[in-house]
Amino acid sequence: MSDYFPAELQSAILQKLPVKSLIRFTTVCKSWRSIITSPNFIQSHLSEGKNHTQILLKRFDQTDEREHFSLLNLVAENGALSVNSSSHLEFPVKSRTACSPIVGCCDGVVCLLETCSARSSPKDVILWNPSIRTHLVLPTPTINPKESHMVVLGFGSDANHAHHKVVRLVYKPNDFGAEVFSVKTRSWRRLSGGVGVALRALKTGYCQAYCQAFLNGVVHWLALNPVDRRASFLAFDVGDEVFGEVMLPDCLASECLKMLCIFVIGESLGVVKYNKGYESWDVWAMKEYRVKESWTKMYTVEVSARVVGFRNSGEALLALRSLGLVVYNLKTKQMQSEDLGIYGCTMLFYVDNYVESLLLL
Amino acid sequence: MAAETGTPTTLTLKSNDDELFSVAESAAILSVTIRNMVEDGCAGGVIPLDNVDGKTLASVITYMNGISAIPADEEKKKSYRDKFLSDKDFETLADMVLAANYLNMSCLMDAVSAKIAQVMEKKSVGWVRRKFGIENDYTPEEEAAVKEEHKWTFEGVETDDDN
Repeated sequence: MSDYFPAELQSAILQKLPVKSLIRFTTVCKSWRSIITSPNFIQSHLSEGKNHTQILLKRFDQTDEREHFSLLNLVAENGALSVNSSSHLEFPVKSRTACSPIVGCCDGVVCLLETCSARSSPKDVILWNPSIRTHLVLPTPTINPKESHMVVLGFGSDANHAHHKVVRLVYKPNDFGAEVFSVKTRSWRRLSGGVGVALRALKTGYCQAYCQAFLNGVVHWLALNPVDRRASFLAFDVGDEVFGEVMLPDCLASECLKMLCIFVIGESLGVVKYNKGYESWDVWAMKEYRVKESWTKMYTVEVSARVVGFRNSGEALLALRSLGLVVYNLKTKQMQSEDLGIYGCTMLFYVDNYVESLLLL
Repeated sequence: MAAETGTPTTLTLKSNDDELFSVAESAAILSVTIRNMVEDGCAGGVIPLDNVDGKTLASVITYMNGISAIPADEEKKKSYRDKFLSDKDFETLADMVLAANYLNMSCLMDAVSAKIAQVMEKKSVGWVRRKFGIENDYTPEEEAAVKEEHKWTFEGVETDDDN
């Protein structure tokens, strides 16, 4: 049949297969292997997969004192979300620490920090594609000042999802350096010139969680303007490798950074602002990207909870001390009465929207 | 889209094994290939479709009629497509994807390739080679090495059903 089965049709069919089948089918013949492993195919397969979003979950289990990774399929029934299926993900590196902070997740690849060997200090940066069970330990970065410094990391891709990069910001008391690791070249490269904006990105936010938001080819961090002490977003365009600023509305800019958390909510940049005592919180979204006036307060929730993340469809996933992970229903404006059956340490939950991909194959 | 006319126009399509089919123009122009012929005024007599056999063309016309009878409701169209393809075997689907490609019908093309992918998902490498008529050009050593590298993807593969 292949005699009359044109290559572009074969490729169109292959694009609709899940990654596990695709990797198995690299053994069909050499030409299928080269189709499946080609950057163009990997890129178009990724856009096919955008409709099948899962939730990547990391939780810390107090009983065995370890972190567990899994992928969840959530389904809505009678207006309530529940876990349809969940698959455990085997973490590829023998963990030496109880905690592997996640920098971010983009196109099926998770960027996280882990101590891979007894020598590695600071922690190694790892890119991990759990759906194809591949990982990459990044080489030692080039900017390693002797004096005290702070490192902020970001992970994302350009707007076409063709180039995936880790960006590393190194803040010294009076100096700043930045370098980029490209998945394509598998090496670090220093960025000449400074940030161009005075903002200082924040390493971690509320609950010590890493706080970046990747949207439309741009990595965003919550940041502080050292001159007027106002809160803002530092933005890094992954394709052009240019820094910029995304402004917060005045009422959020004057807030204490500890009360703010950055998120992607649906297709927008968002902020959760915790109110005094953390007894309630407001959800804000920037309706039109980079239009400061379009920031809108969406809703306020009067529940003492940590907001862990948002599904693509907009629902917030909350961690409650007594209940584990709970969904906030946007229609009823209430917390779902039943939890998702996912328990762990409230402060150490991580969730993100996840699509499988062949990146790093 | 086609201009509104008082009486529905009917087109005659001819398969490569010389079967003739009548189909409403409004349904047939789901095919961009046919639409272009109509717009170029080449659809007056019989439209020959040299790359489609009668059996497949009959099936495609059933689809054209079925889908064009559904008003603009993507959910309903999707469930019609799912039902239409649900009982088709691999060979029929393969003929259909080729026809959809030749007729330039992106919605059918998309649905059929997704269905083929669904059929293939848990199949063995041998099954795929037979169905696509692909010759294995790996040496046994090379094949073993590629297989060894991705052992876990061979878990949960269905037993072949085509022997």
